Amino acid sequence: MKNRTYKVSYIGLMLAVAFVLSYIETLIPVSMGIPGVKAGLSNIPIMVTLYTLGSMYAAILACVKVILVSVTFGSMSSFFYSFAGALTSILMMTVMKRIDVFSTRGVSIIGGITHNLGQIAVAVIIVENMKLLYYTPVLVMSGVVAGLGIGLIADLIIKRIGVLFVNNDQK
Amino acid sequence: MEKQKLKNDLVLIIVVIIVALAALLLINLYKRATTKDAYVVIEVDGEEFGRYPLTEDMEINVPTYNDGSNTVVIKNNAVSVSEASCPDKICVNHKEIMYNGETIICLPNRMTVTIVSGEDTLDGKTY
Repeated sequence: MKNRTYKVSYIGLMLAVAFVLSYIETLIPVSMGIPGVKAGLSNIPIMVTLYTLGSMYAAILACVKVILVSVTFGSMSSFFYSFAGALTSILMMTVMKRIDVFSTRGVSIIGGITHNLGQIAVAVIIVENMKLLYYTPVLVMSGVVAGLGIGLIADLIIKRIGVLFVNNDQK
Repeated sequence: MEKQKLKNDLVLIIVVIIVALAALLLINLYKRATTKDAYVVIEVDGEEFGRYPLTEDMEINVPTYNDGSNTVVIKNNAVSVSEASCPDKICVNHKEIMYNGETIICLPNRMTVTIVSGEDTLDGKTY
């Protein structure tokens, strides 16, 4: 994986996958009666990138994805929430990956939780209502569930795609 | 090593779920304990729009951020949002709220509807 061009095309591919998954997610009305709860399918390619190209590339991918998705399907206000969520989760996942006590699943769960925490923090600042924090336990739990699901799927993909990267290094 | 990590994952999940459930329980207990003479407070973009007693049935039209509007309904000591100009309608689909501290939020219109205990309000303190 020394080739820069390879990395750029790979991250482009991941961005395309993330973008399509975001779109698919807007078609599924899964809110389960709780506002703000989403599966976060588009975080699968971000997790895969984190474990194949590293945190720098994953962070770039997350930021570009948020901008693209907000411009096309979202609104200006959703941009801030998504951006805060993406940044906090990618930061915490990088730290957790470095510390190396959790598997892909654990790191993904941390990502899911911190994503929601980042969003609620921004919501509290924008709406200026501390009462929003009452949602935190629910959002944390949904973060665990979503993070676990994403982690399991990402783990399967990383195991298969990771081989590709090792081979490339040896060539 | 791999097995140890999976064990750590499991511990993480269990600890987080327990903490979240405990917090949820405490919040619910607190809400139930403090719901008397409650008020419905509507805020738009961080500023208070109005304050209404929870016990009186009424319908309030709230002009909100970006020329939007929401209709808040108070009925049988419960509050809900019946109409909203926002695209996602999360506030409209939100279940009724009836306890202290419960909130319905419309993020696109920057409106929040909160039930506040009578003791929390400024009026309650001055008189």
